[in-house]
Amino acid sequence: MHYGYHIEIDEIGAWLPLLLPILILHLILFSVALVDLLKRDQSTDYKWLWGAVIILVNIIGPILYFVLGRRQRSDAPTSSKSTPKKVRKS
Amino acid sequence: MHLLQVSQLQKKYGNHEVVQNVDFHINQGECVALLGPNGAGKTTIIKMILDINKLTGGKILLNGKRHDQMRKFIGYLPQHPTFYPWMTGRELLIFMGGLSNIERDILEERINELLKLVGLSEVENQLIGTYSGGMKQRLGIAQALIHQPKLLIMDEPVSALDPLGRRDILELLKVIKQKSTILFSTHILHDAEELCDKMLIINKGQLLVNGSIHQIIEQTQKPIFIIQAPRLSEWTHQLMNEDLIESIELTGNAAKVRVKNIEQGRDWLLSHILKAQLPIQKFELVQESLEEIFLRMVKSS
Amino acid sequence: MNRFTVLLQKEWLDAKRSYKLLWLPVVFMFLGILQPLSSFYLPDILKMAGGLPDGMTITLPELTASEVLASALTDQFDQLGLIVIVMATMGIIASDKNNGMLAFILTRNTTLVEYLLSKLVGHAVMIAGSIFLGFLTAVFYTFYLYQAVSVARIAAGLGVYYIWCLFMLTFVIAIGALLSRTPAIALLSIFVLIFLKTITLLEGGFQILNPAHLSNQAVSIITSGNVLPHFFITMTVSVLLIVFCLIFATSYLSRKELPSM
Repeated sequence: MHYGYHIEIDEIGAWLPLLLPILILHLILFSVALVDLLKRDQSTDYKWLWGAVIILVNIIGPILYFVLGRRQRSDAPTSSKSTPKKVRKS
Repeated sequence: MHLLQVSQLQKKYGNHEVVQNVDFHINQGECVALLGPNGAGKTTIIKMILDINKLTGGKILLNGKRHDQMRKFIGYLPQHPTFYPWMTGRELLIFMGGLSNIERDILEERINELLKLVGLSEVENQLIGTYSGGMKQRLGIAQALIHQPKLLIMDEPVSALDPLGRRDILELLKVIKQKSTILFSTHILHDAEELCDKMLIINKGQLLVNGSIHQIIEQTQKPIFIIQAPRLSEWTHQLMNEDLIESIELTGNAAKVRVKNIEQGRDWLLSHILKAQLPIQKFELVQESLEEIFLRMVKSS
Repeated sequence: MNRFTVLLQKEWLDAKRSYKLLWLPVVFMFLGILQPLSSFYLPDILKMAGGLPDGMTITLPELTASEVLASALTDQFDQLGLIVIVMATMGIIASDKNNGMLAFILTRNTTLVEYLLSKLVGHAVMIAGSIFLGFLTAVFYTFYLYQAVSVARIAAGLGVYYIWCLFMLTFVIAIGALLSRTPAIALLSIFVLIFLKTITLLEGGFQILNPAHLSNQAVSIITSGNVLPHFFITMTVSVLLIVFCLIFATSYLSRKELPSM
């Protein structure tokens, strides 16, 4: 098997079909995350912070946003988010 | 037969008795307020009726039947309804209705009716996360009514709302009351008085009063002497330890004095005022208001 | 419409609205691409990154296509993939439990069993789809860069591997029933699952009782077409553990007084 040491134009051509899917997947995650962030009813600070994470951290950034960034609002609704033990009293 | 019959209801957490031997019943078509200060055990009683919390003792019967069947016949609005913020109002109603095994086409129709009733038709396709507190409460009422329950139970339905939202919900409940049997808890006497004809006053887990508002006033109302005069506090201080006096409440330069016997008390108070040469501006005998009855009972228990 | 379907539809809607349905498969597809690509181009990448000091040579093992695929399972899916599965499922019970939604759902005539099954089935399908798509991309890249591998072996290996994933899922559900703080659930689950995975490196008879050993079985199926000894015992133990986790979650939640709204 041949391993090229210099990257030439035709070699980039060979790489492209392999990298393209990654690019597309990343673009999908990236844009969905950004659109969702912009639509979100949150403070500007919050949007800047997560916007930076989504844009600067490749691939992992949008995923971090989906897992952690979107929790805030759904987890802390109007109800008291105190320890469950306290909740049971009238 | 009573619609709901609660007898000797008890709840203990360890050694702490949260609810002690509570007895009451609700008849078809009644609107009953479960009244008491925060921490009195209202929510615990409601949760036991709903089978969320387990009973330590006692019995709860619906139409004279046992507990497992209850959920089908009760609509419940929790104290802080959160629901799923990512659902729309309509989707929540479809979800809740589906859990109660309602056929899809009947469900659609009923959802439309309910959304109209609670005034949410225009926002039915918005996410619940964007709703205001009052809207969530109205959605909560709609979901509680979706399976046409025999009994609607609400836990503090208006406590968390601003005056406007509160007014809204109270008006809505007045409409619903005409067709349903309602049990709702509150710590605000005024709400209870406005909506309901029957009241259960509880404090520290014990049922203090049970009856119609009319009845409660008639049976438990006590006379109060209102004495108004300057420099009253010194004088009232001397009265504290007298046998005849039940309680004294001082606000500004007016005192509310409760006595054990009206005749003796009046004579005694007047003579005492003369002796002390108190320059009274007012000496009046009045009947307690409902609020005063409520406060007295809660305090003395 | 029965209640289980209603609950399942809710899970599906949740997954859609929270984008879980999007990112979970995409993560696995990334992982699937990563392994064949990095194995194939590692020498180039080393060279580009400044290369090795003069005179030093490394001999990279020549990997076969099936070995590359197998290492996609053990090096990617079992590490980052495992963490991602835990992250995706850590809150599924706890959030409903804490905000009172679970108690509230149960005030309708729903049972805990229906509720937990809807969570299990919903996420099991999602995880199945994710590892399938992820592995499919790994297969494409491997076939393209290396050579084709028996599809039957791949399918069988992936099937066995999926049982280990199901164990992860039910384990997180059980921990989620037990604890209420999501970070604690995530940490404990990841710790235990990685521990199970790590001890598979050790030799020893106890491996046949370890569900993580199924991942080794899957590797063996893909690379050699044969299972390691005691395959069926490990399989049975894993399925029993899955059932145990579910029974545990149900009985724990039914005994406990749930926090409600």
